[in-house]
Amino acid sequence: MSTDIWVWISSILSLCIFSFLWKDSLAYRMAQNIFLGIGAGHGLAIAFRSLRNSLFYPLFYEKRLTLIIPLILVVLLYTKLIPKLEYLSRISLAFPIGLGAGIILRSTISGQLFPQVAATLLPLNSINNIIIVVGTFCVTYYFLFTIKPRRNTQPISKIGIYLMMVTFGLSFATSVAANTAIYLGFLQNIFGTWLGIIK
Amino acid sequence: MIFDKLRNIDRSWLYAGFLLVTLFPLVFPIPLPVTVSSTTQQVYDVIESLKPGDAVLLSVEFAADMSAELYPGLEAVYKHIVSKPGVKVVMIATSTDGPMFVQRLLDTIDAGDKQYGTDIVNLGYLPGGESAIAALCQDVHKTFPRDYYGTDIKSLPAMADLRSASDFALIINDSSGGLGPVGWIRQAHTNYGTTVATILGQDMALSALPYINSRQLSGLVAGLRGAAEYEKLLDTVGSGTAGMGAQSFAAIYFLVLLVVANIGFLGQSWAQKKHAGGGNK
Repeated sequence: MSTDIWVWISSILSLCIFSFLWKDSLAYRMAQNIFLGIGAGHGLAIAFRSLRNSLFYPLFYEKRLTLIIPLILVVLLYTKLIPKLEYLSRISLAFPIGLGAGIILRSTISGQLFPQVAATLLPLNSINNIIIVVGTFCVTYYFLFTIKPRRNTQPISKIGIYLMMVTFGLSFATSVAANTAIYLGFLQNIFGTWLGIIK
Repeated sequence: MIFDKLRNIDRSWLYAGFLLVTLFPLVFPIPLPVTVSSTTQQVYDVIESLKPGDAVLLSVEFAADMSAELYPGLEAVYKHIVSKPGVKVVMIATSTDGPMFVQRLLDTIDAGDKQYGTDIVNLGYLPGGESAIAALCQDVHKTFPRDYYGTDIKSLPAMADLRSASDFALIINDSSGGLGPVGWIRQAHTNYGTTVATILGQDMALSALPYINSRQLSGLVAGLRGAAEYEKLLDTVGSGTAGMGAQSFAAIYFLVLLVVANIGFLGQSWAQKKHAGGGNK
């Protein structure tokens, strides 16, 4: 059994969270609130450290005066808390939104759309290639809502639907596997690190 | 009726069964064969092909709740990178929990002759999503004027020649959701031609496969299973391999429950139809 106090604390808190399977208890709520509080505090500390290294040190010690502009934008963000000055925070929000949209729009077309379309143009010389090309066509056709569906093209949409169902099933199965892995980490922590049953 | 009982098994029995099924192979390890997938092999081959002087950017992007699935893969890949002589590794984090795992790597994994500052650098947390990634790819020194510990980046010998994404031979990101490797593909691979590989949770691995097919992504280590495969390639045993028996048993348990529940559902439908048909007579 572990003698590390932090292992005991983390294990007891994990069991408090799992008590939710029995019922919504005081132990569960206590553990949940501790998690939320520590998460918020930790996030704040990391964010401040990032600001210190990227903004305050270069601005005040290296005299990079151009960083006054982002400093003003950071301060303006907090005007959101003052109702009369709330409109000033929109200036700070406009920069990341506009910048992000521009960067992502350009990169999405050249980095995602064109390469993915090119990768779908495959020779039909293997089962895999046929499935990829036909499947992509059928699923894309299913989402063409601006064209009136006709009886003779309904099988194309049907194939698209069935392929999507298979994909969603696969997606669900991988999600179950991912959550199982997280659960196994919990078991290893409780029965291995804490209780010492798993060697 | 039996079909009713099959459909309405008390949940507490299901939880207890799941606990026993997963705990048994952990307490009494059952060695199961692990076959290495082509996507994991690709990551291994890319790292194996690194030459002295090459630099790797390792980005930790998962939260603490996903660490059980993603940290084993990160650990295995990091061990491989630091075993390559002359290869530098620069680590960043785009999640607030990321710096914690970077520090754990530095504290627990023996990097041999590699020294912090000369071969290994921890730059810390990078907020701002893809815009920040774009800024980092353009100018690393402007994005991170100091490392995680407050040291001026210009004083770190490892960072002297690393100015933009094109100076890195490989970028590996380890993420559980959100942007995933797509941001690095769009910014680093498309604009600078940098090789990108990824460690992803199994639920996100499916969405990365199109990028493997289009050769925008040079490999994928998927979840705990991917970590076990990578450990096999490194000829070591770690937490990835340790969890494989339990994960296999859990998958079989779910399949049995699926079959049982469907037998209950179909049997009940059949019984209702038979009863309704008998009533009509």
